[in-house]
Amino acid sequence: MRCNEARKLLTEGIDRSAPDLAAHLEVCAECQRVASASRELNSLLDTARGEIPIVEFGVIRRRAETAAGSQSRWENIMSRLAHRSNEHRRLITGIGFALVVFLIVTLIPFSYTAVTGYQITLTGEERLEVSPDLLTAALTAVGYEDITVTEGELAGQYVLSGLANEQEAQNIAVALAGLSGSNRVPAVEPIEGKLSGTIYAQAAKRIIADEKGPIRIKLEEGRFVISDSTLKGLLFSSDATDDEIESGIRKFLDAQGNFAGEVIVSAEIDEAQNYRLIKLSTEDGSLSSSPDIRMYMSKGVLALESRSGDSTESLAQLIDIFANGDLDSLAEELDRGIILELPGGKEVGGEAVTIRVHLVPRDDPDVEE
Amino acid sequence: MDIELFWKLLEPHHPKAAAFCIKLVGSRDDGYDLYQDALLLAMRKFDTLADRSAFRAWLFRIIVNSFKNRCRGWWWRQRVVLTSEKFELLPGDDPGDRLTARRRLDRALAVLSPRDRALVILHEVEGWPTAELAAMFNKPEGTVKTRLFRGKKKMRDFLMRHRAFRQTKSRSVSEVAYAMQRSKKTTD
Repeated sequence: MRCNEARKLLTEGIDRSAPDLAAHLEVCAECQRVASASRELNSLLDTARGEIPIVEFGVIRRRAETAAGSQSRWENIMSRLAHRSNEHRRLITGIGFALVVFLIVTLIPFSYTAVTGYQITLTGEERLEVSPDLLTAALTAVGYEDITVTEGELAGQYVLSGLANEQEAQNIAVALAGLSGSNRVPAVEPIEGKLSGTIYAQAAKRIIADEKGPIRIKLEEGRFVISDSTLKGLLFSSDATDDEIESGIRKFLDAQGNFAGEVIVSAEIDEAQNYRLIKLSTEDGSLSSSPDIRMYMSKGVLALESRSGDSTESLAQLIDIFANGDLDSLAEELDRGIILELPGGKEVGGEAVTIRVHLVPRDDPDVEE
Repeated sequence: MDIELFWKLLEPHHPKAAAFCIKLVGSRDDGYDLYQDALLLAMRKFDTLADRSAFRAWLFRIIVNSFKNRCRGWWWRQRVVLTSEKFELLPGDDPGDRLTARRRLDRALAVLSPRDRALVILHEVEGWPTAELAAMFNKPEGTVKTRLFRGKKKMRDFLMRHRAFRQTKSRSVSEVAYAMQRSKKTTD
């Protein structure tokens, strides 16, 4: 008999007096030790077979009924949850892991690199001779309350912090260029820095920044102001010329890039000598290269251009707005005459018609009434 | 739930069930705690018992499951490890003493998994036949026999290792280590 066979018999509790087993144990010291251990194990199991005193059944019943009755609803729920969690350990582990990931994403801040500001460089003839503090105050006055302006490393450089996105920086750059009288849009460069925030906050910031809304430009107290949830004021000084205003707005529009929203510009009549009315509208949502109706003062002449199909109606509307429907009163006030000029043939409902309105002095001999 | 019926069915099995709980955990206080937990669970689940004649097997299965859930707790695992790994013959113990034997058996049982421990106690101590154990755990009888065989072998090997340590206690450290290594190689 081999050792493994002998040990198997010993484990099964076979009587060691069996001939083959006894003969093997005579000669194998290791198997003797195994046999001795098996004997001890059987002896120990024998000691456990005896009766042990047990608490009376009535006592156990009272204790159990008391425990069941006193177990609060919360304890009952918790004990059931504990029991269920033991039955569905993988599910509970998965839920716990997901909860930990959720807390990490929403509560723990991580450092990350993000744009913290924008640098606007005005050099050469674009250069502004204003202090950053003045610019900060000016921007605050028009609604950019969270923006601070500091000087950059080079002369003519300004660093703007607190802008929502690059478009805002572009808008302000255009405004600054307008103030300096330049036609060129200054360079805008993002400045990156280390920030700290939860992963959720970072993602939310990106989603919000990508949203675009309508852009509205209105004239207030002689100034064109853009008011919008994503864009702030674009300023022109009250004594800016037509070219400057038109140039500034075009720069602003160019800075939008592929903007596909609706742009509406409305204006109220400025009671000063110079009248400014600009209306830009797009029907299909895309931005046209030139406005539908345009009126401006140029060299003492109020020019009105309309490319609408119904020129007469558009003009009447404009004049209505322009002079409260009373051209004669307007002319009288300005001591000038108004001439409607309709060059070329009149085509209504399709082709563009250019209407030019001149405001000329009454006693100008060249004017035909 | 018919609570009176539950207690009526439990009463004849109460001594064996309570003793089984005490032998499972190795102490009277913990055994009664386990017994009470199992009874509370059984009271909640009594309505799910379709065959009242299988009450005993159903009750003991609940006890074994409650014991397994207890053993999953961190504090319980630590308790078992301390009990089995740091085995020593306490000063003054007489190997023939019943209490000492009981303690030694508890430590040998501690090397088994909760399920195997329950199987060994039910079969070797309480005398349940393997067929009844197979029905209770819903396993083939051959599986139950195999688990019992392996469980007893583990317990025997544990006793052999610590027997070698105990017998060589008065010798030098190197001799003891050598003896334990030889004993371990034999049982592997």
